[in-house]
Amino acid sequence: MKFLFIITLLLYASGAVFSSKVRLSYIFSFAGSVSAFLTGCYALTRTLVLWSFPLSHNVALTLYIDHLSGIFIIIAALSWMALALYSIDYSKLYPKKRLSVGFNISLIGMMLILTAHDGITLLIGWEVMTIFAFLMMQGTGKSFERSFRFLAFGELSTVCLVIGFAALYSSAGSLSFDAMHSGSLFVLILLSLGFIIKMDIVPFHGWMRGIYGDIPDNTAALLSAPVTLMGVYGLERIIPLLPGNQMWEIIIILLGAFSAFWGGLQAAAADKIRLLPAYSTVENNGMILTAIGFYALAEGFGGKSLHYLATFALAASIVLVISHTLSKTLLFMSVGHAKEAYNVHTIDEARGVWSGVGRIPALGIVISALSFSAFPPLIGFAGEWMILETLFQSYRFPSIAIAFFSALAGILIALAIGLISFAMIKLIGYTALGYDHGRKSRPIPNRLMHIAEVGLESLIVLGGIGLPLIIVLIGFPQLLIGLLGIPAPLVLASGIPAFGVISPTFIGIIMLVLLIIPILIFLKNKKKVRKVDSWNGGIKLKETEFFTAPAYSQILEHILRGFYRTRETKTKTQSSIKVEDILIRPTEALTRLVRKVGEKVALILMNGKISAYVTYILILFITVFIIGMLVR
Amino acid sequence: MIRWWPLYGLKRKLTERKEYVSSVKLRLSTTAVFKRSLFVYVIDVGSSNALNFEISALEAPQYNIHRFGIYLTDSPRHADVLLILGHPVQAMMDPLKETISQLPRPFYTITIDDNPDFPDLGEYPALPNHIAAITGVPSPSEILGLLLDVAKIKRKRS
Repeated sequence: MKFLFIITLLLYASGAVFSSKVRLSYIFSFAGSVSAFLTGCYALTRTLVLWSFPLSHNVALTLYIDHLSGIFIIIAALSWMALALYSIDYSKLYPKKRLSVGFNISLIGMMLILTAHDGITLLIGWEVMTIFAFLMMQGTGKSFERSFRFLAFGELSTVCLVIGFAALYSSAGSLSFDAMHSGSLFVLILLSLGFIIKMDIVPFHGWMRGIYGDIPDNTAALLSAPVTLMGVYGLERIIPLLPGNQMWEIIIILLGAFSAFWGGLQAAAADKIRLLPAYSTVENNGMILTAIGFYALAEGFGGKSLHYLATFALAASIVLVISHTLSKTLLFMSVGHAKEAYNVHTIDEARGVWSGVGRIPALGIVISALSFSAFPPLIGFAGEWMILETLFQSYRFPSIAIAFFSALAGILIALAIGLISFAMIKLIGYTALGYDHGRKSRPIPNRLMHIAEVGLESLIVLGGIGLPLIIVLIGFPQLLIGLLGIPAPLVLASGIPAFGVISPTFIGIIMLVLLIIPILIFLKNKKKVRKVDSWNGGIKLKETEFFTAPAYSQILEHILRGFYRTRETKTKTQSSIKVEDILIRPTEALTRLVRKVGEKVALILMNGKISAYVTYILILFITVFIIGMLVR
Repeated sequence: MIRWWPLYGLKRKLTERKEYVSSVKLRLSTTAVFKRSLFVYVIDVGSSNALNFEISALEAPQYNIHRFGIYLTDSPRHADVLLILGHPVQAMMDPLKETISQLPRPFYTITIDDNPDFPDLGEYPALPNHIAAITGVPSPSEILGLLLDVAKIKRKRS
């Protein structure tokens, strides 16, 4: 098994080495991801220490696989495989060497995170992933400053983790995850904050706006699905080890729920084709965070009913993670495919993917967007049903205050799901199934893109229908029962005593059977349809006269103008409606401040006078020296 | 002649004094599709304004085409017949084509060319389902007669 793990790392490393032949490099990363997938499958069955390198008597670098890392390696590897396949074709359009190096090495970083069993290994993987993801973002050479914001947030998360692990070391004397039980609340807060920042939870999502449109396709997908997955993995790893900190858990639940709401709200108003999925990531990760927080909260109380609820919440978080990673990878690939074929940036410009670009990318957008809109029997439906069922059982808590806050989180998440459906219908209606106005896309190499897209499309559908199998594989067979003539492992029950049940398998079967009749009738009475442009007094419609995506969102932007800060801007010839995400204002203010301070400091210190620079170094040295002396 | 209207009205109907007959023969044999009503979209592709006056007279009480079930529509998407006024000028060729493409099928086109011999304009373009062509400026009753022919609406004789 160690052999397979080493092969995985070697394949990624050779991908980075052979980066001058970009196609070959991505083929290596695909092979490495297949190997990683096999490693994950093995890890589901047994726990194993892969490698241990003692640094001192109580600190050792340990690589280790168990059931949890197995689940996450499998989920991530599916996403990596699809992205590597997609990138092979994409490399013909965009043959940057830097991109393939970054891709391969950030995969190594993620593999290290998923197998780490101590703070230092985790941090090494964390930094490798962050820095090389940042290098990938640099590919287009645009918006340097905005991509620095990503790095800044990444480093903020690293700083939190470093301080957290240092605190753990000072209290427990070890950096291993096994010593986490003796960690304090301070450790928990810092470590979970470090992971939450990586999950793009509000207000740490400030780097996204303005940068997602400019980065390459595979980078966007990587940043949105697997990289945020690492944050979730970290939380799943540490939170169960530190139960019983109610205040922090309630804060996590509310932060997650608010993040979900805010992500949905901003996605509903987004008009850029990449920004909408990016905000949907904020929304989904918010829901995942809430589920994890709820798990820790319920587990802390004890009792049979709450223990069952906690288990259900944990299962909900993992199903949501699976759904989010697969659907988001597919969504970014399909949207990127359409974007490359049309060479555009907004939802309006990328109309008619079905007829203009191809059926497979259009189906990819439809299926992933429906999965995010909780459409049965897709896997997203199962995940979102589970999180809502979890939160609506908050009455089981003995404390009124906790029940109230959980219910509040439930309300926010229900709102978020509604808003995200609104956004996804916009994406489906305009981009995938919209009218192309006779536009044709440019031909791009797409065979492997299609394979990757079809693979993920079928996984999302099969994952929904085969939900019981997934629940068993992720280790929660006790949640499955039989009811009302439906055989035993096919019904998922959300509480003891019973609260709600669902069987996506049966919904799938019933939908299939019931759909056959309308489809037969439709095929029998199929009429010829003639498509013409909208009637505009005999004059051809101009591009500006179509019913646009912002016009679709306008009603929401007007009703919720308090949140959006909706305002109308008028010039002599045209007027438009502007909305903004007020929660990225702090980030922008900070950026301005840093720039200003940097300019001032540069004027004082780095103004070409060697004496000023030497003084600066000297003062810095003396300060560090004094601090070192004091600490000793 | 001055008539004493109340008595006259008792004796015979006030309208329907005459039969609306068109001198223009239909080019195609009409089907029974538009038997009960007819929806007409009018497009002016380059007439002198005279034809527009004749068309608006059709809606006035004197002719009142609505009583026959003939209506003027605001959109070609609701129309059975496209009534084209004038000889098409270059600028109106594209809108004319667009209008024809918007018509639901089956449909007919009728042309009224008030200025067939104008030197700068070429031949009249070929149109699909071109059922009747009038040249010159016809009277409203002639246009109404043609529309009634197309719709095969039974006329009441007075």
